[in-house]
Amino acid sequence: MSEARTFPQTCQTALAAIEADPLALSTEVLAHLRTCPACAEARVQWLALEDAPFALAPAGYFGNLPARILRKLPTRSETRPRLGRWIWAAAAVILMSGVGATGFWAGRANQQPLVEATLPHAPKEVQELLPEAPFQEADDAMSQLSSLSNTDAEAVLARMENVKTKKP
Amino acid sequence: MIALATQETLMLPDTDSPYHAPEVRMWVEAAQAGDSTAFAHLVERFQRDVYGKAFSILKNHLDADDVVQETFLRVFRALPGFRFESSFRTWLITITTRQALNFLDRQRSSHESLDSMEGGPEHAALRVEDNQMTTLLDQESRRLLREAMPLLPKRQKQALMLKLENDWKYEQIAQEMGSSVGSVKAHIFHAIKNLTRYVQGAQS
Repeated sequence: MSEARTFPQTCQTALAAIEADPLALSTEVLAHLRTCPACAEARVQWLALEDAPFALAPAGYFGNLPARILRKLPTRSETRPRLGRWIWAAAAVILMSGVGATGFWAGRANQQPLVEATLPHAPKEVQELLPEAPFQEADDAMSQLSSLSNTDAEAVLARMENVKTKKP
Repeated sequence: MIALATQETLMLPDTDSPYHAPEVRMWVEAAQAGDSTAFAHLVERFQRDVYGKAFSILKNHLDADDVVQETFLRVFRALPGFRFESSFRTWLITITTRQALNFLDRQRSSHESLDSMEGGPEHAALRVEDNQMTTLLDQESRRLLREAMPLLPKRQKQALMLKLENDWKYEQIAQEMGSSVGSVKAHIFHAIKNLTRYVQGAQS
């Protein structure tokens, strides 16, 4: 450490006073500390390194202090979730637009339908339904006629009469 | 101001001490990310030391209480910038000391201004806020001291680093260095004096 650095006499006097007792400084030294940040900081450091004696506080003071301080804390912790929400919203928008664009381009690139429907045989259900359709089984004709309305039944009977008369 | 990292490896802080227990670092890191519960743990762990330091300077409970609260609020705001260059307790106690001395200065200057009202208040534009001044000092001094620390004589540097990084008591440092408490104090004070000289030379 170079001793040749400029170090005014006032600073030396102030530091000597600080070393002797940093809390009992003369008004001249205090005035010097107001104009000399380096000496003021030296006082802070010297005093900070001194071990402070144990101090008694009023009963219950230390029990309540953490809660009192927490109540006064600035809302730095609250800004994070709010920021987090914005980040999630932005991520969702990016993801959705990415998925949308990918889907759109994939659709344009592949013009053929992905599934071809081929029906080589009639569906089984239709075959099963057919016997239930009216007039499919002769044995059941009368029972089916009975389920028709009067007008329909009369029309059917008249039609049958015509057929009979035409058949000689 | 003298919260610095060094390239030299010194003895590690005593992890048996509640001030250097592994959970302290965890709480500090969590509080840096905004976790107020972790910060409450830190307050609980260090409140007696902070109060003790403030009381030793201000000598009364009400003022010490004001300073303790101011200190913890300032520490919470400054925590994201804490880089573990010194022990957390050293950093915290340094802030407490600065706050307590600022409090004394404010009291003194308010008494003085009441004594000499004819002078009129200082113009707002000429007034530098404590916070701005402290921050500027802190950043600039830390940069300068990082340069200056390696230039210190060996014994001064060793004593100062054991105090700052490991937060040891003078007796413990004396034992480690095979020296007396008085000479350890002298080494540390001369280290501070040399660093002050360096900082002042750079600033001027």
